[in-house]
Amino acid sequence: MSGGSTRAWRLAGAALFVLGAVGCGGGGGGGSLGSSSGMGSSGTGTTTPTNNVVSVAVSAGPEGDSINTLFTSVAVCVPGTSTCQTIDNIQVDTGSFGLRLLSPVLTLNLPVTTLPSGGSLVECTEFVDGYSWGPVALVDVQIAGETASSVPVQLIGDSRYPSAPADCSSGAPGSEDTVASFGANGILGIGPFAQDCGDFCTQDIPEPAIYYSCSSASVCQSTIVAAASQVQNPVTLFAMDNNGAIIDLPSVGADGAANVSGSLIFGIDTQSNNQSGSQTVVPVATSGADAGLLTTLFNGQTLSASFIDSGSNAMFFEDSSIAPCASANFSNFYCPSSPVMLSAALQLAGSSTATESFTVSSAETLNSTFYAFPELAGSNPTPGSFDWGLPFFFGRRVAVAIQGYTTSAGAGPYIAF
Amino acid sequence: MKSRSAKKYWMLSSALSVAVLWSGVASATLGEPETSVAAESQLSRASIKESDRGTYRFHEIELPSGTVVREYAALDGHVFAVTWHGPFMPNLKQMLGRYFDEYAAAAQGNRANHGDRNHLQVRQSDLIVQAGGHMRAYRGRAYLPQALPSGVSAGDLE
Repeated sequence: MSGGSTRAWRLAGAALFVLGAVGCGGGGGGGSLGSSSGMGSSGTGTTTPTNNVVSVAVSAGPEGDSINTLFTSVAVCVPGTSTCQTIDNIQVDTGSFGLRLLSPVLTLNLPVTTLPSGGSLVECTEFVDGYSWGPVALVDVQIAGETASSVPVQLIGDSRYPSAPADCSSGAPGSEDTVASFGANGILGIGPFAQDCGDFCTQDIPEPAIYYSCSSASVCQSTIVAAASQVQNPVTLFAMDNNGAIIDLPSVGADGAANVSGSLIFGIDTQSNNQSGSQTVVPVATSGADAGLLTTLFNGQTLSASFIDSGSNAMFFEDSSIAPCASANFSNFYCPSSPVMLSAALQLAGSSTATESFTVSSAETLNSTFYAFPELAGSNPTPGSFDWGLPFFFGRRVAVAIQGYTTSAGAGPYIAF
Repeated sequence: MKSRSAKKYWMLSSALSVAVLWSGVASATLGEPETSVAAESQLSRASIKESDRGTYRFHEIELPSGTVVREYAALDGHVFAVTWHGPFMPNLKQMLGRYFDEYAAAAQGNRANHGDRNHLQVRQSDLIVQAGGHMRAYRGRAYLPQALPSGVSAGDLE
């Protein structure tokens, strides 16, 4: 994408590189910029299929205690070099945007992005249950055969910026700056937007802020940031296969499984293995207070703040007829005495809907040696919300198309299955 | 259904109420008098509407970021609930006030209790917080169950 190369060059220009040496160098990671470099054809035939499939697995995770959490491995490199590191236990999350790595697992020496003002770019990422603080740096990302060059990523828990500003810590209850508290070595946000903030952060600053300009390890001021310098969904920076991604997981038996392996396929309708076919397309809102959300019809309610999210570890909805678990360890999950069969409908374009059936079993009777549970569900009392978490992904291909890109099934953002 | 009657009530009361720019700008802080809190910097550019629902007052504050914060104040002026929804998390520390530390302490066990990043519930006798969502789309509510005016249920707090 031209935005990517503009960004790369602006940053490279600050370091007084000759542009040609960045985009057209023959060796190292730089050579794979290809058509995204804006320098014309690199001679690589676009008909040559790229390996666009990486394996993913629902597994125990780095702490050994994850449930219904999807992981993959990602290689990151110092931009333009072959100095790379492969990091495993990276969570695959369709509910966020961009790659974030836990700094303690990084062995690469990555310089922090410098803003035009001279400050260092540091980010405060707000999750519902905690905030993650750390600088933004550029890496070349390699997944499967795909390469995205000079991708802004967040380095969470980086010792160069040890303390989050008070403003950052005011949006969520605690910090998640270690592998133990984060529950992963990183997170690969492949949701349907290109940046984690987008247009708003190019011209204004939310409170609590997301991006900060730091003049020292502890002196940080909230700032606006150009879209291309924000943490980017790396998929959009692939030379091809950049309009979205598909998660393909096998079905899992009712009792669960110790380890479920599947595929993360990049691109939609770009190769023979990622065709849309006759998928059901669920549009998601593009902007405003409902960005990224869709509508679910459940128990006679219209839940307009719903979402489909591989980063949620269960189906989350509110149904007072299902018993909550008594155990504190599963305090927000359901524990019916026998499996409950339910259905809910996703609102599609126009007035049509797609009805999906699912079963809820007791969280307390889960096999403790398993990590994938198709019948796990929890309460979701946030108003108007139904969260189709990872169980929704079992036994199907779920495509996430990114805003600003189109596929044969339509314009992103959408989710299709 | 309860939610349906609540909705009807809302439509009736909002039709009767007059949305005004609320000049006595207060930020929504749980458990505090609605007029005791100094204006927040983020509220200087916010759009604020007030409506009267009989047994409580309702202020809706649309922040410049697009996130909508609502505060619910009893007739004695104390804020008994706050809600939020929008693309950015609001300043929960300010909104929850003296209850924020209690919220943070209770949230510590979320991962140990198999919680994910996108859902957080705190249920205590004096405080209920229900937060959810993901990047670019957050939503939640916090309320003081013992301070709900009679006839008001959690379902009214949207």
